[in-house]
Amino acid sequence: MIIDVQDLTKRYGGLLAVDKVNFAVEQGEIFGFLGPNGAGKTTCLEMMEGLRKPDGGQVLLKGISVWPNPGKVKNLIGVQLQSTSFYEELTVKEILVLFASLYNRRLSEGQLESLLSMAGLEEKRNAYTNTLSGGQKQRLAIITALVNEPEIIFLDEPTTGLDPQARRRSWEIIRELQGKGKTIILTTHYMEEAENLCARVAIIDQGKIVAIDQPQKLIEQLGKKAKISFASSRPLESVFLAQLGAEAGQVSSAEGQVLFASDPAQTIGVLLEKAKQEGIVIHNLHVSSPSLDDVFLGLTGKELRD
Amino acid sequence: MTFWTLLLANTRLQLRNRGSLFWHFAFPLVFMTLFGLIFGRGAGMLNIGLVTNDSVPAQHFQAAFNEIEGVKLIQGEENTLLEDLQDGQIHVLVVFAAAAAGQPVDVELFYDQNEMLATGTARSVVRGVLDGITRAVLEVPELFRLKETAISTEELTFMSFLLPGVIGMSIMFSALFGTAYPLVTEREKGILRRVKLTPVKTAVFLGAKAVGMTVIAFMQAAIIILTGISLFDVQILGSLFAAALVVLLGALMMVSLGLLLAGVAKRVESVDSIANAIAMPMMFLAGTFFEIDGAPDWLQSVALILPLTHLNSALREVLIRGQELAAVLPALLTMVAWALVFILAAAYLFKWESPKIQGNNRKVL
Ligand SMILES: Nc1ncnc2c1ncn2[C@@H]1O[C@H](COP(=O)(O)OP(=O)(O)OP(=O)(O)O)[C@@H](O)[C@H]1O
Ligand SMILES: [Mg+2]
Repeated sequence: MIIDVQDLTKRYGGLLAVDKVNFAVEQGEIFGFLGPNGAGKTTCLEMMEGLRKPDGGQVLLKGISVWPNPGKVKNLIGVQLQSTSFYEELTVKEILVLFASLYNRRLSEGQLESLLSMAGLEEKRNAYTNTLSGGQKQRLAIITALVNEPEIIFLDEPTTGLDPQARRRSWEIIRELQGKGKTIILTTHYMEEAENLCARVAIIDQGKIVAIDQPQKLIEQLGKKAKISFASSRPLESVFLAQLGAEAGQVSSAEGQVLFASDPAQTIGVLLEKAKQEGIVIHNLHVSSPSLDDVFLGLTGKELRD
Repeated sequence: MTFWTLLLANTRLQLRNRGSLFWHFAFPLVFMTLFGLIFGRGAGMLNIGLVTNDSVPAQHFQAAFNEIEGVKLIQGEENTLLEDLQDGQIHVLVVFAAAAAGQPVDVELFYDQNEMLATGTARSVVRGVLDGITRAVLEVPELFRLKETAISTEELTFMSFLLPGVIGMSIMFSALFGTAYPLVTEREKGILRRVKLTPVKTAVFLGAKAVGMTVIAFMQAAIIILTGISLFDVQILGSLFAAALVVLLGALMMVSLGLLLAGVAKRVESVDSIANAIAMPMMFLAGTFFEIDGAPDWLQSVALILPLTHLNSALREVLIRGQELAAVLPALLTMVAWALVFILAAAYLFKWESPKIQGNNRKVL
């Protein structure tokens, strides 16, 4: 257990931003924080990094308590903050050399080379940072977090705002880091990211962890059911829904109505027949298997992104 | 090693930014050149009215003035000359009163308050000449100044007076903006938070910035002095080593004020207004362009405590009047005191993060 968080709590005035959060992470694991805007992900991470002082609880990194003296873990951790900004008048290489020197380290040519190639920035080594694309900036932020060869890496929304291709590129880096035995804790709004990358995810809402498990296990909690989604010309009454032999899922704006059924063929047949009797038109009917998105919706009543 | 990399990075940041390049180096030069063209040699004679009593000092005065280029002495009756002064025909009027032997001579100086620049120059010229004479004559018992002090009348051209002021002013502007602006920007962008995650010591991080700005201050002083010598015949009488020490103290003092400013200013936009609110009045009050002894007493007392006043006067004494460091010790000590005050206040107020940057910064920014 390389990370151990106990009863971590943070208050902003009347707002309980992080509420008695507990979890542990094994060495070499990729651990994900999944939650909507304002859930408390950043606050939680930054208390673990030693940037924000908790109001309660404690954080142990490799057995060392982060608080009250965060200086002790500075050489152990690498951090990519949620907002990534660099000195615009410095080049990629100069940024890396500068940050290494802040850890009192001199980057060898080989280290520099391997960082740049990990991020696919070999050709950008002499480019000013303000000429980089969004994805390149994010990747630069990730490798800047590696200049001190940390054992634990914190990535706060490493792929937000990136197109799918750039996102996959970042995933490769994160997997490569895991391959090197690093422990990674990241936050994301993207289900596929969590499903694809993380060994375990914690779903966090309003400062509380509402579920914590492997992504596949979380999905299985919904049972082996099929997800039926559709739109209707009139809202369906609950009596009506009860006759369908399915349980109603949380209604999400994008999808209209959602049902989870163990026998989807039967449920759809009944649904269409009843609708006809009542003069309701059903359209956009879909059957799919449930995803982490559905777990999330079910647990929090919210969609991940607003 | 951390320090040198930081210093290098800071220097790159300053030199790669066109704006700061202009303010550090082009602006003082433009300033010198413009002032030189407008007020320098040949441009406009200084007319000085003189009422004498044929005393020895008055004769010396006359003789001294005949040697100065660009100054015309007009002798006459006090009343007519006073009218000339009011008409703007002469810039200052010097009246020597009759005096008994062995007594100091009363010299009265009239000038037009509305003509700060011309009369300021004329007055410093007159004062310099009088200084020179007292040294030459040394008949006046209550004068204890050293005989050897090298004072030539030529050094007191307007450009000679101006040059140390331009150095002081440039150091002030560059150190204030060059320290506060990057720091507040770094704080707003969250770079400082990122730096705070590393084990670098605050003193090392800020020290590299201070040293970087001090290097720039030296470059400024060198450029201004070279321009003064080559284009405007300014004579540097003092030791450059002494001047370098004054520049060093002045730069450290202004950088400390810049650090304090970075603690006070919450946003980048407020750096401009606060820095200008501090620097502009100080520039005028500190005797950058002309002596302010025409101002009301209370204002002069204010001017006397301003940091830039001491930087300017120490530079002027050392560079142009050729004084020893010992002679400007009070000014040097005052600068050290100011630097300490600024550093302590800055240490108290300095913050690594702006409230704005915390949390969901992406949406706020
Ligand atoms: N410095 C602060 N002062 C006051 N309130 C804050 C501060 N930082 C965060 N908050 C509040 O605390 C809550 C949690 O914020 P946090 O940034 O941790 O959420 P998040 O899960 O990272 O959100 P996002 O996905 O949008 O980044 C939010 O309601 C936020 O408004
Ligand atoms: Mg966040």
